[in-house]
Amino acid sequence: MKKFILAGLMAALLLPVGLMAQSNEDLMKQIEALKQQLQSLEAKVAAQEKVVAQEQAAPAPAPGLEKEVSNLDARLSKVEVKTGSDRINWGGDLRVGYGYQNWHIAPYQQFTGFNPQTHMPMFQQVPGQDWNNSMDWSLRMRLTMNAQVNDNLKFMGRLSMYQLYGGADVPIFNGSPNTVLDSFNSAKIPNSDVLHVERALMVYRFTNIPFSFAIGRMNTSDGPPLEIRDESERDGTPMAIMVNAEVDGIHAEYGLKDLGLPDGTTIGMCAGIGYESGFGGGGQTAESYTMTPFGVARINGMRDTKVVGLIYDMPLMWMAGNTVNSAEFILGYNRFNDMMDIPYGALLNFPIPGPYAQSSPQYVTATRNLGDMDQYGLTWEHHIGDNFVYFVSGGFIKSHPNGQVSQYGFGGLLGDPNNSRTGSAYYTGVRWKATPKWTLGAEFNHGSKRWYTFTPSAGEPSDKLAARGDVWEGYVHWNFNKNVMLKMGYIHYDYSTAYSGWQIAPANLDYFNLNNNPQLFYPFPKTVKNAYVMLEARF
Amino acid sequence: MTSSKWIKTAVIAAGLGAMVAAAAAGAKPSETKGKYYMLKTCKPCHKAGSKDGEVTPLIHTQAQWKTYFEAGKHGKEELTKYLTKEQLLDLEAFLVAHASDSPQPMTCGG
Ligand code: HEC
Repeated sequence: MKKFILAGLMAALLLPVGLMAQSNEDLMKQIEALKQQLQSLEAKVAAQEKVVAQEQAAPAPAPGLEKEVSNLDARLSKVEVKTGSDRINWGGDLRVGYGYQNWHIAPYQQFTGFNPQTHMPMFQQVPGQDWNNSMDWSLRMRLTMNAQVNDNLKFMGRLSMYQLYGGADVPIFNGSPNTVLDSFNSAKIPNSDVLHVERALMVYRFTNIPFSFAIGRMNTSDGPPLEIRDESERDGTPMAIMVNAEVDGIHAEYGLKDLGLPDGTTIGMCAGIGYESGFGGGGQTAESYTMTPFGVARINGMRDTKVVGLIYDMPLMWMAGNTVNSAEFILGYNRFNDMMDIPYGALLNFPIPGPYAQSSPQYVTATRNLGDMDQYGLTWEHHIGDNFVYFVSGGFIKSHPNGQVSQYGFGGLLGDPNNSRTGSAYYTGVRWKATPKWTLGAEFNHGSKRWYTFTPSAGEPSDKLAARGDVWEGYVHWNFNKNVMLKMGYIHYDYSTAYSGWQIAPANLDYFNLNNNPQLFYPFPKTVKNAYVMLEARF
Repeated sequence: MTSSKWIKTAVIAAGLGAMVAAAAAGAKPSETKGKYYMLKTCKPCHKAGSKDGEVTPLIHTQAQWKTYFEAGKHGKEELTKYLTKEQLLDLEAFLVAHASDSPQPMTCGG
């Protein structure tokens, strides 16, 4: 075999040489060169043969190995069939919470209806008081799912159950809009043992351009920087200070790396519907009537609330000395068009006062579009090394009212139907992993008296980021074993102004300073103390 | 008011403590350093769409990444060709922490 190859090679190599030969000297030189080539070829072939010989001489497989392999093959193919037919990857978490709350209510005048003769509003003086809820157990289960449908298309979703122990399956309502149960927060208000679809979206990633498109019930709750306090991964796209809601909408995202920006930088555009005025919304017909404290109200020409937003997201990473720094810079803008008086259509647990302060018996609906609003936000998160992170986040709003007021008496946009008004808020905090098992954190946020943000999905009895006033929080997490932690914390709210969380107010918000015995539809707390302990397992 | 003063003091103390902790680099493998090495050393060859294939933590499970680093091989070559032993521990910590069977971030971009 070896000889045969060599002879063949010789012939092939010599043939052209013969044809080109010009002189004997030339010929000798070429033959010399060829000899050398031949020798190196011989060496290579010999080495090759040695390998073949070694392989042939390899010891026979140990007895039983073949059987073992075929055994493994049979077992593996079962696993392959099983994983191949498991179309959804599941994960999730279970959380048992215990809360203690104290509300301090400053003196206020409670609206009690209208005088039947004079039609003037009537009020009753309520003294300052404390209200405690010393036992508040809750259970939350979330099942996270995803599936890679094909190379480009991914499905993501989350099913959630959130319930109060001993709850009468009636969702709580405490005056804060984040406790009005609807599809923006169905998974975030303790209500019953029903599993709600908190998220369900498809994300399509294009192959040759850095572009993705998502549609469905979006990842729009618990966005940055809330994951810091939760000690988890980023859980949503929009900044929590701007939107924290289960939004049905679309999102398109374009990667900007090719412009020389850091890897992972994106610009996104999203759109959603904040209120559907047709089917499922308020009016059964284009023109209809509803009962209000002021009598019958005519509902006519209602328009959907539309939200369009832009978000710029830029991750940064750099080394300073021996420490890695990573940061996230986010800028956002949202436009809310044709906002409603009551933000939602059908309200299941929202006690609207009827005539003479009787609870309104009928279907409650939005009654008017009140105008538009611009919303701006900024967030900076900075991780220094593995164990320390701080963040700052800010928001600014500007209303564009259209002169209309709610027919329920809730007033116009930001309490002023005729003038554009502004509000602002900031939110800052630190988290420190003191040891691998213990994490400490502290946060503060402040909202101005006209601050408003769309955060119905806050998931807490009071909506921290919507507060008009100051909020402090301190927490300790004990990661006592892998994927299980005990979270202990205390939140202290000090409100300056009533109607926190609402985009509407019956009058100019200057009148609702909680220190000045204001006239109110509902009691609004002046301070809230909320201590909590939560046991959380992630799987 | 006194309670908020107390919290303010605690925040400042925690902040200062953390700076000290961050300055005194720990002996434990560092996920963030691992992420940095991934970005600087591996990504030039392994980003989305590159011909050597995209490598992200998601391509393996936690157990698979551990096995990968135990073997220490990058094809035929040693992984130490790219990073020191210590740096590889950081890289492993990062890849394991974000492997396909670890909790994942959820955003509208997938
Ligand atoms: C100089 C370019 C280069 C660098 C730098 C590089 N790789 Fe690779 N990598 C390759 C090539 C080429 C392959 C082989 C691709 C193949 O055979 O499919 C590969 C394959 C891999 C694979 C196997 C992929 C698979 O699908 O199984 C992994 C995992 C991997 N590299 C991880 C790393 C890590 C981790 C680093 C950083 C320490 C790194 N690579 C740095 C070029 C590189």
